[in-house]
Amino acid sequence: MDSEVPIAILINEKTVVYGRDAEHLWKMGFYGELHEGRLTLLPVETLYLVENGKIKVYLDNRLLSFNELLHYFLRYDPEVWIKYVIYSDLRRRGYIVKSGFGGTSFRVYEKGAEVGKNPANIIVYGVVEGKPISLNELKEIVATAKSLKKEMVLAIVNGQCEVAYYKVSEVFT
Amino acid sequence: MVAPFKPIVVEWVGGNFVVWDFEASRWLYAHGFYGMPIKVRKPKDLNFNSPLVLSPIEALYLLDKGVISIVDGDRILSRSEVLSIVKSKHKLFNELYTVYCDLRNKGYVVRSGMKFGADFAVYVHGPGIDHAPFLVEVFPMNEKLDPVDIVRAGRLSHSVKKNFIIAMINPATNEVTYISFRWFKA
Repeated sequence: MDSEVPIAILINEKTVVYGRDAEHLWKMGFYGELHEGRLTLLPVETLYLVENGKIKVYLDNRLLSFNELLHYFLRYDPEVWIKYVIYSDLRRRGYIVKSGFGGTSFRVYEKGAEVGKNPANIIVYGVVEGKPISLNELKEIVATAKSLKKEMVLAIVNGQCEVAYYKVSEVFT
Repeated sequence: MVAPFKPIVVEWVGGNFVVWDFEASRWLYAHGFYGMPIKVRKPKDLNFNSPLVLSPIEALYLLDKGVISIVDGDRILSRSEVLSIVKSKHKLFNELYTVYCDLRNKGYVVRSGMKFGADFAVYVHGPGIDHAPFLVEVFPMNEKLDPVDIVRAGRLSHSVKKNFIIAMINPATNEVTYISFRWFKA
């Protein structure tokens, strides 16, 4: 059974899966970017799939644990843990989540949507307890969503990694 | 609001702005829900017989609109006297007054949000008519916001569908932007 878990290879910050496994993972939940039988996964996708036993990740022929992977990715991106907290929370709730527009943002598809067929209607922007945001930043986030004609949702992460979601929009215009 | 023929007399007494005349009280309450009738906390209709207490910000706004004049005993208070009274009541007076005027001038009914834990409770039609007010919290533009404060404010407004609004003022133009937060069950 164990040998059937797809094997992925780390190449710098990217995780790559080839062949039938690549197709399988894509169809399972639209993970990664599929190009000519080669699936490239983001760090958050890699962590999520490893945590759920859906892939095994190797670096120089050595199998990495979730914890080793996390530390590996943190060297590339100090925000990878917060991104992972939000990403996995949304995935567990049944959303399809793709990378967003920089920072801790994600494009989120409605439950049951098909990537490539349906648009991502929601942008989720992560903010963290104890890391204040300026009002200008908030204003820009809202303006961005408006110009893209998407719903903007703030994902607020507290010290226990609980996530609360708030839709934000401009009113009384 | 069209000002009445003669400004309504408001007395600055005991730390409050009070309208003693019942007819004038009813008129102010009926024309934009200004003030609070002392004897009727939640007026069912506009036929109450009660003096009316104006909040400091309401008093200044109505004074600026020429609707009222404010007296202390038999002396009429100047705008600057009223202003210094109102300023002493609010730490963020400039910001609060800018937002109050902006919303009133846009036609909303703006009342104190104190009992909801917010700066203002804003109604489209009025209290007792709207299902629930919008709760508005005023922030100076240079202030930073801890994301968890958003959650806290959301909890406070639990009874009003966890819906609340932050008002921020552009210091260069005095323009106000309102950002609404609605709890999203993901």
